[in-house]
Amino acid sequence: MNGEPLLDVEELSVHFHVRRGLFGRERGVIRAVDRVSFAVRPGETLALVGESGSGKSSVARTLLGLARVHSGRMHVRARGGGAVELTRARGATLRAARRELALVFQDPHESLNPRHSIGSQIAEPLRVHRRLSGTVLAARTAELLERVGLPAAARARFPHEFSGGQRQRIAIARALALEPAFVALDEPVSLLDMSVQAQVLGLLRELQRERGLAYLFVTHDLSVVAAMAERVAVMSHGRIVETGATAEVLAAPAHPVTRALIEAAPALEPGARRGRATVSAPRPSPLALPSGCPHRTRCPLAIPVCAEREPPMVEVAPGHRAECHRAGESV
Amino acid sequence: MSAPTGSTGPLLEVRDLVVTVRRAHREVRVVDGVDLAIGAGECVALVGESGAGKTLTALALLDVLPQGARASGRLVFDGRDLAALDPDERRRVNGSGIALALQEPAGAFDPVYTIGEQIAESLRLHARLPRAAAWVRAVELLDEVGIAGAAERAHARAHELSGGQRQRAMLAMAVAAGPKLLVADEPTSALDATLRVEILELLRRLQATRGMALFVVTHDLGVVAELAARVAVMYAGRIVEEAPVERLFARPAHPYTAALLRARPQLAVRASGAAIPGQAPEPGRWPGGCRFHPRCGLARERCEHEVPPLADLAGAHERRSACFFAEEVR
Amino acid sequence: MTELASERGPGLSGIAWGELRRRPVFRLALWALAALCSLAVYAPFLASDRPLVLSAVHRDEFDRARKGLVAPGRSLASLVADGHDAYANRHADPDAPTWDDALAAEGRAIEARLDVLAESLDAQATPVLDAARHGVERTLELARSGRMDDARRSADVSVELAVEIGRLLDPASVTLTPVLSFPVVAALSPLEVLLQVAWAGLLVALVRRRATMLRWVALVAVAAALARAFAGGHAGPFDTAGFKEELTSGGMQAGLAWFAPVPYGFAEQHPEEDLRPPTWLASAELSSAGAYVRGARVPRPDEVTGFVPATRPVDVRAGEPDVNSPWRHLLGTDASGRDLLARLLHGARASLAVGLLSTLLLLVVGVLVGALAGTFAGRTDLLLSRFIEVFVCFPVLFLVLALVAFVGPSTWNVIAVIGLASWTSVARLARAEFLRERERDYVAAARTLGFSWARIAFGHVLPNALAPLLVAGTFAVAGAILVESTLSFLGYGVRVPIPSWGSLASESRDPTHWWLLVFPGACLFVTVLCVHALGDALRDAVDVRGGAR
Repeated sequence: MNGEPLLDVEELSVHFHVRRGLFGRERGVIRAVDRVSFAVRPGETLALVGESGSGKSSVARTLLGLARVHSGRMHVRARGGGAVELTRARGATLRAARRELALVFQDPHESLNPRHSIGSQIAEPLRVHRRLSGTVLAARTAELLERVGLPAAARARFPHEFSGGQRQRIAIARALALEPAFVALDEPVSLLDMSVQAQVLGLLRELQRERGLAYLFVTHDLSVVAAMAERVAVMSHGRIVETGATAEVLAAPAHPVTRALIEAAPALEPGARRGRATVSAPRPSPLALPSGCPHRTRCPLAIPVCAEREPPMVEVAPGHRAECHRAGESV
Repeated sequence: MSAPTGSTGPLLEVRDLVVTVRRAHREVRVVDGVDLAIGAGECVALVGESGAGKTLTALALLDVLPQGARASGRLVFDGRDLAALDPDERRRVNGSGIALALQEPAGAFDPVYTIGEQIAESLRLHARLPRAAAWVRAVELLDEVGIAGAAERAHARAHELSGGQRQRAMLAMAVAAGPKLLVADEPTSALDATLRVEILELLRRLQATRGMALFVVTHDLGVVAELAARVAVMYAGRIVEEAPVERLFARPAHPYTAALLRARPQLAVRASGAAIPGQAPEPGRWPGGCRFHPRCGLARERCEHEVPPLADLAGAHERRSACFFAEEVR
Repeated sequence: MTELASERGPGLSGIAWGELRRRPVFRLALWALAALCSLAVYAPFLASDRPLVLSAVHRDEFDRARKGLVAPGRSLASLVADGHDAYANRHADPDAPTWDDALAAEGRAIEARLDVLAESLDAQATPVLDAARHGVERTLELARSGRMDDARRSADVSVELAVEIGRLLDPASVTLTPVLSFPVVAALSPLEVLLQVAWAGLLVALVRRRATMLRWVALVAVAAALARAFAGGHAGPFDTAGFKEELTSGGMQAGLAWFAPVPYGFAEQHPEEDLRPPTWLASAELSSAGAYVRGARVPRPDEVTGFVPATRPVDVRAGEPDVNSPWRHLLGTDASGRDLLARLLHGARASLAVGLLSTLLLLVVGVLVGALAGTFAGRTDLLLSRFIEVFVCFPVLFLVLALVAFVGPSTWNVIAVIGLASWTSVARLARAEFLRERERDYVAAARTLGFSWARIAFGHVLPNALAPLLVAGTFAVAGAILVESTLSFLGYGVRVPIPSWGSLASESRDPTHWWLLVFPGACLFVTVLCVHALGDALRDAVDVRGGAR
């Protein structure tokens, strides 16, 4: 595994402006991603977990140019050496850097074009960017299909003829067509049946081993994190609140949000959770976050300083950091 | 299916439910002879993968099948044969007798009207409440399901609510008319972990406070573990195992159930569940004999030709399995 | 490796097509429209004053060619005798043909007449004609190469030969062989040939459901059109080479003359039969002298003077049914005595062509504008939407009338004008569809793959947005047909005498001549009804299955 990071994100911020009213007057700003920094090395998997609305999907989408960056930098080490900064690069350099990144979407029923055959959807990036055609193209398409576990003969079929798990595999094949070094996966298995999840996750692991891919795995499901990622970053209200090696973070969470997520993980045995009370103060609206630490209204550890100052990032152990005034303390 | 009965038998009895769908100009069976019984106040889960026919089973109970789908079979609810009712009476059973909570909460509400108005409408129709009283009751219901500031939120429209609030509002609407049975189709599939916990908690609470029976259709074993008292496992249009929930998890009696349990992800690092080899067959293309046999580790010659019946397990209380070799399942 | 079912499933359009085929209304409407289009495409074969197949002795033509040999021969001789310089001196006018040109022209004239003669003669006479041909060629060669004496001798010999031929081939003594020709085909333009072959091929391919055939069909159609273009000499639509006259007068003696089912041209007049009611009804009877002996128009002597207007005898031409046969004028005639059925068949061309082509134009423009607005949204959308709104403010019919008054009535102008005036509803529809689709994941996926906006908009989004646009398109066809007929009715449509259903309907507003209004009106009604039925079925099929998972 190469020591240099493949993807290095610094202080990335993505803001959405909320407009109401007849003339689109701005009513507020949602800080979907708020000064987020992380790095991913080649061949490594970083999981990004959080509740819905935490900004994890926005991070993935922004990396691939689907949302506008408000501030911050994203460095990608393209093939052939130099780092390209995605917000500054233009033209051919930008395009080359973008080819290194791919994105797999959450909803397998939506991410494939219903009117194109799956073969043509997998082949299209090759046709457009690598200018392949004819037998070479057909061979590469067949190769990709078979690698994800579908028969090459299926290339003439349409997405609606496939199940959710199969469609997700087709989406993976399409993402890998241009041989990217980095794949962002936005909740790729959350809409699949549990048994199918296992299949797709197994495929993703194999592909990572074979091709040395780096993954950014966005999910809300901790069991998937445990299965797939060496490192994890927990997000909430657009900020990374805890980050570290998966085993460590799951065994000894240092941030209340992480702890809440772990507790909320599905009990897989009957009787494991029944009768347990859950605290559920309502989540604050992203347009009106509480002062200081935005989690304080729902946090069992809240103290007065939490309302006055934003929490600092504290290193509770080597490589394991949490952003909390009382990092590391438990209830 | 045997079930805890009240004085007059199970609350809902389903006999030989068959649902056919029109696919490419042919009628295809998707649900192939399902028997169920749900007792009053009981929670029964129907587990299976997508495409096994679970959703259609749920929709068939309320007679709200999509266009092109047809159901046959016997449905007896609260002592009344539903097929024998005239259309108006049948319609009235929905809402006050049996209610439905769908997977996608956004689809349950009309985007034009406020949620308060819609819940009140259901109350006026079923509980025959006058306008003002219906509104008050609607706000009470929204409060009961845990929506903060229910009085104000009742004036909001569905799309103005957050995902979790929408889910709760949908449940409020479903239980508004005081149904005896709530049918929930994948109640937590679209939710993240913390919300999931809250909604499951809510469902348990509703069931307890109202003595409501709950029929949950899901592919998620976690939901089954947290909610159900009895479980029926569905594969390729048929029920393949029924058992009380603890027994099912501890000692499955059908290879498919065992495989589903093995496919659960573990919280240990780097070990996802074991995948089940092969692919679930499409309706209309079911293999002969036992439908699971191509993917089954225990399959023998007999399984290719004979269809195992859903039979009571010897010596096991209230357990049934459709496998010739149920004792060998681990 | 997972298993999939062995047969290949249909795409979404396959499913939609399956839904459509199940509906009897759709099938009926489709067949009816196919029949109407076939009538329009093959109109020249259905109604024409030229025979379809003619095997006749071209007596008059032969005679003309025979007699016409001498004059050009003598001209050629005199040109040769003069020589280049004398000719040039006498014809100093720069516009006058040069000596070489004049020679060549005379040579061609002789050749042409020899060809005509050769056509009607059997093999025995050809040596004589060949000799004459050689003579002329030799003369020209000699003259051009400057050997004037030899040229003059050759020319004189040729003249003598011409006279000799003229005498030899006296029609009284020579038996002419019949010539086989296909006058209708000869009159087709290359474009018509293209359409007719392509349409036949299209129908066959549809019935046999082989889309791959279409490539061959296109190839064959283009080849046929090119062949026709090369063969040359096709007459314009107004050319009424007088086959019928010659056949009736005996100038051509037909051994075999098969006329089209409706043996009238759309511009062919029978003035003595003007405003004749449909003969099929047999409600009136005409005497051969041209006077009505039965029916509504029996002339009554004037009460005061006893005056009875004179009539002209009915001219029953070759190939036409008898005066009082029910097949004579199945749907009656118009004020100039032109057969209505023939004009209806040819009128279908204008109406359907305008309907279809202008719809094509408006779809292209509308989809383009809508796609741009929907794809880029933001400011582009703002601007384009305002632009669309400006157009919407104009009532289509008045806009069309104004534009046509400006550019002048002609088929192509009408097509362009209708197309450019009616594209707004399609644009709005396309805009809505594109705005909706751009939010979907597959579009985002295409963006992450680095595809250009054009590829995404037209390659990815458009196929998904197509369904409602097609429905709008079918209804637009109906609308365009009606607008065209309105234009023609008002006199601003295709130029007279090219018929169009609208102009036919306007020709007489007198209710006693009901057939002039009813039949064109019925054609319009049936066509628009079928198109609407098609559109309805399409919309239903698309609704149910178009977005199916």
